[in-house]
Amino acid sequence: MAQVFDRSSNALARASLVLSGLIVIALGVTLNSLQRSPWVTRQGQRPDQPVPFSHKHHVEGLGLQCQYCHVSVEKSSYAGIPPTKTCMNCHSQIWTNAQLLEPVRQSWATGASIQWIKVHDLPDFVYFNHEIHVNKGIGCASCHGRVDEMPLMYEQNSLQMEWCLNCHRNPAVNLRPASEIYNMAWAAPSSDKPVWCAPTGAAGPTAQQVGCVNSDPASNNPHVAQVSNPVGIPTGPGGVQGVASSPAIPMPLNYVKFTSQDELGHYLMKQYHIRTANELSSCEVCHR
Amino acid sequence: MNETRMEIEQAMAGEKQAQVVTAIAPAKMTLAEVRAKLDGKSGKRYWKSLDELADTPAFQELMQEEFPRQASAGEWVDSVSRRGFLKVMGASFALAGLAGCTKQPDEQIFPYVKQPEDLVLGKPMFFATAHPFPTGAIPVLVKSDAFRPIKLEGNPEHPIVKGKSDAFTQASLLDLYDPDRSQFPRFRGEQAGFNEFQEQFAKAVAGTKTGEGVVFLSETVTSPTLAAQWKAVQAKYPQAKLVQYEPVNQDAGRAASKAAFGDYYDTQHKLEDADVILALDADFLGGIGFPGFLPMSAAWAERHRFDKDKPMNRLYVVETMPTFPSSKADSRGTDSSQQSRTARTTYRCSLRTTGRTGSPHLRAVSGSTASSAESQYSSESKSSTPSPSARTYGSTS
Repeated sequence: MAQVFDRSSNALARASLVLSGLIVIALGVTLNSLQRSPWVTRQGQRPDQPVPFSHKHHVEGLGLQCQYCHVSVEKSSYAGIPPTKTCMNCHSQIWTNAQLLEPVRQSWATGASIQWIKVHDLPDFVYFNHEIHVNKGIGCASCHGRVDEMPLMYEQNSLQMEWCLNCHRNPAVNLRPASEIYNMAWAAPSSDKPVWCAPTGAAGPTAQQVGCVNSDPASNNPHVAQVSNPVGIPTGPGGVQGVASSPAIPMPLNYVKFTSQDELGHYLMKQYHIRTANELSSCEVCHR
Repeated sequence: MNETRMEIEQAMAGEKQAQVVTAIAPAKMTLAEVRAKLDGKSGKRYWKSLDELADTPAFQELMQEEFPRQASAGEWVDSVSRRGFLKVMGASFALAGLAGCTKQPDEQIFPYVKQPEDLVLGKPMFFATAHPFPTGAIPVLVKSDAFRPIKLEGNPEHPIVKGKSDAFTQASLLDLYDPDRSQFPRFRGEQAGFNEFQEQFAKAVAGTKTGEGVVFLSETVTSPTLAAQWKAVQAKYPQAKLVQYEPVNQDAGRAASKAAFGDYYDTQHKLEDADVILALDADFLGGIGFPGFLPMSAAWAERHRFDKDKPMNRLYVVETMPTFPSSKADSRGTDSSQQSRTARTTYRCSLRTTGRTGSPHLRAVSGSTASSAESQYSSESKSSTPSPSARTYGSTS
């Protein structure tokens, strides 16, 4: 009986082995890049909204504060999309005939919602809370980008799980003073522009207990903390001389100077009691 | 009436036609016929019976009934075939994961036009209300998200329930989202308004001055508001009747109170005083048919906690079907109702002997389905004062 396969088919067999390996790898690479592509994540896409609302015009141009519209960002998981009423606060007075605002006037007249298309759309199995992030030193711009420079809203980051984890593994790179949360143009401290921080002793949320300034507190007006008068120190006439008769004694704060984001971030992590990825290991923190 | 009967007869006749073939007359073949059948055939070919060899249409029908898999290809077409259903289900489950690999569709946001002032989206709001229940309303606190109820719990500020609730109250949340729940008043099965009801009612009672022959059907009414409204109706139409129906009711207990005290009363058990509790078919921890069962189970639990100075109570359960108390009982017995009756008699006898010699702490809790009303109250009349809060709405019950 003759040979079914001649000698040349050995090469074919080897080639097909290599080729099928390559196909498997190529398939994996393709799926991987597809999954991370803007087509899936919508990163950078500007969907057709009923009204081409410009954050650039309203924030940079007019100077509206974020919370004028996104009212519940500090107190709820959901930042809030403004009701039509918020638009009409101004637009019942200005641009009352603009064609672009027709859907707003329609909504106001008929009582039907303006149907926006979600730009930042997390899957339903993800629980995200704005409140905790905003109150613990993550600025709007850290996740949403320079919204004040976006004529049409788009997603700056992929919002995929790896992106969440990137920050949660090392939150220090993104933490900023509580006073700078809504500052779109905030830049990390450098040796040219250092930041001074100190615990203020104020009550309230953790992040409010740290005060930060951009100018040297030693040279300018010294920033002071209000410390209540300890019992037993008499004040006023007949008391300790040189102490003001006010119920509080001014005390210079021990400011720490920061010239890099790394130093500041680690300082704030400690002050804000921010948990690391090791402490947030339970899946149900985000998947409830 | 006749039409219905004819329909039934027709249906039965139809069933006869589609009767399952389970046996056929055995085939009769002569040797010549067998030879003729096998003529020209070779190789291994078996037949288990002459029927199979004869292969008559009747035999084929029998095979179809007996082994449908081999006989028919109609499995895929038959919408209620079990095998077909499982196949499609299996495929659906296997492919369900693939849905995760697709691109998600655009989602929309529907903001308020005028947002309620005190609403913070993402934060729940709480409302105090009550869940009407055949044994009395249960005060609840409703957790709601954007005014949609998402959880019910007992109202923690209410002195009786103290934040506790039961399985029925918890589940009643689903009633709010029940698609079968009526969304509007119906008149003869058609959608109608309350105005139409008023018109029709006025027309119906116009003929009768005292409301004779007018019957209202309702579930058990425990709402004081509804009771007051019924009183108003009754004042105007004294002959009108309110019929309350409940699949699980307290009729036996109420009949017993009528027999014992001459009027309808709800029994109020004081389990916190009881050292020994005997439950005869009584689910006093589960809540069916027990007014005030929440404080009752709290009282039972309070005395069942170990405390050095206080004696723990003991719970004996005799029952015909499993109940909550039996899972908590110190001793339980399953009994047919005949034996249950015996148990009651025994209990009554022992009460006679021990009760008089000063054992005031023995409580019997008897079930709402109890038939032996007399024995149920033979102990209650001695040991606890019945509450006068009976619900008697005129000529009801």
